[in-house]
Amino acid sequence: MNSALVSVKNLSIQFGGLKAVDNVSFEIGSGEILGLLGPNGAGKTTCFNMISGVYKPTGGEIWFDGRRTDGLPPHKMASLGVGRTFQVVKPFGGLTVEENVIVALGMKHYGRFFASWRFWNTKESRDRAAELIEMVGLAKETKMRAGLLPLGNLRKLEIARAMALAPKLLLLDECFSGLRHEEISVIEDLILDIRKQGVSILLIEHNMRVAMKMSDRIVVLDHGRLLASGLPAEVTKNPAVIEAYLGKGGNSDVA
Amino acid sequence: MNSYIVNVGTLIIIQAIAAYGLNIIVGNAGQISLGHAAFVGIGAYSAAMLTTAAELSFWPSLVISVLIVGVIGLLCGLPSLRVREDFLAITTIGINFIVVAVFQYTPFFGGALGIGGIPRATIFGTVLKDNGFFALCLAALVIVMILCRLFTRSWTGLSCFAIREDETAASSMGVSPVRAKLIAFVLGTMAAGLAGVLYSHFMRFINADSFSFTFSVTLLSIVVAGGLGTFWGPLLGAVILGILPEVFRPLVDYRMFLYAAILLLMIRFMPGGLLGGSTMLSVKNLMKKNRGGAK
Repeated sequence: MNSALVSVKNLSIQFGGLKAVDNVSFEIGSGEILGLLGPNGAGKTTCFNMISGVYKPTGGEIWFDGRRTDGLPPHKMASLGVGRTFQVVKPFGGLTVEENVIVALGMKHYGRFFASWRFWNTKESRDRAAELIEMVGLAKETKMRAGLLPLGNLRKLEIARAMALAPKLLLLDECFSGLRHEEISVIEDLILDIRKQGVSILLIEHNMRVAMKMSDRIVVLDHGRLLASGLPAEVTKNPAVIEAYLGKGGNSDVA
Repeated sequence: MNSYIVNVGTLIIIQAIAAYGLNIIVGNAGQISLGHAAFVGIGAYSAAMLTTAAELSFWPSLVISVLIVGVIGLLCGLPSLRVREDFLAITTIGINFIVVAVFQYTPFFGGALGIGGIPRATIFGTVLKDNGFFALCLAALVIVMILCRLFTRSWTGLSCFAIREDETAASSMGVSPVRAKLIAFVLGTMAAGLAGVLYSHFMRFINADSFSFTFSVTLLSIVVAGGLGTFWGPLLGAVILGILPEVFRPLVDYRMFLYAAILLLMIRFMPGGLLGGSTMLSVKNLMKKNRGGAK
């Protein structure tokens, strides 16, 4: 593994009296798939939102690609090379699948005064969008309104849109939830493909089996704290992890 | 042409220009504005003051007035666009009332008497009367429509659509929400300013009452009725809402009631407006089935 692309150091955030994330540190290496696990309310999505710039941490540091990025807004993070999907999908419902992807392709134009007034509907952007749409397997839906797509396709669309940013880091927030088995395996292959292109991936996952299979390393959060980290095989044997997931008395609630 | 028809036509076109501006803000960028009349008013008052008190001629005054409105739009937009939609509605209503009050109670702006003696517009030394002025307004409308079309095809325009659809997702795609909204707001208010300038030289007497909150509601009704975010919507809305009160002269007292009824019925039965989305009138939809799109 190469040097770390992302390092999160003693990251904390407090909402009023609630410490949603408390003193969490981890690193993501170049080309690595890191699984971020934990029960409901463990602070996974909050961690995500801090890395992607939605929330400003109240303590600690985030380093991305050699520079300190905590507190930068989401559109700055996007331009530095962080792509993300959303746990509750957020397509641009009134736009077509193609236009959804082109919005993200515009990332390099929006900040520049003259470039931002050029036309977006060029052959160049349509071709690049077509490649990305083909990659996630939505070629047939290119001209459809995104709002009409079923959940599985929306999750694929979000991946295509995030990849349009040509990211170095891809943040995937429960991109398997609500999907059927066949759909899950298609997206698994897609993610492995993306990793082959050299993109690092931070994967939030509820489904233990998928997370174990996909991740190179795993970080487990519980009640905002770092519970365990290491290789998937090590983490599953960790008694603290088993307790957090299954409970002391053996009453299973989440899996 | 019958001068009555020319007069009604000119007013409809002026309203359409303001409506195109509002359509950029509400239809394209998805930001509610209930104070658009204020910016029409600022344009009208700038033109009136510049051509009477400052004795500028029509064209320089037009350019300066539109720029003034743009700058004031920027200053109003900076704080307002940081709040969420429902608050933005309230904030823009507030802006409307403040602007009207300033015009009404400041002697500098003529107070309750308003400003009179505004000269007619001229072009190459020719004074534009009824038909000539109608042609000028029509030309202005065509230019505004072309600019709107170009705007929707620019990356900036696309970033506004993204903001309208989902602000969080848009910002994660590299769109700065404040910047996109601000550009839409400034461009929209500049179109309103242009409408105001034309109104000033058309009426040749203005006072603050013409730019009240009621007019803002009328403009919003025009845009909603025609179809939010559509290309022909503001024009169609302006024509329909401009002709209706003329046809139903006896009902003139009930005009606001009529607008409210139209708005409610539209929201219930045709949320996309006459030209928007899935209505029968949507020619675009009939031609390109199943093709959605950034309009």
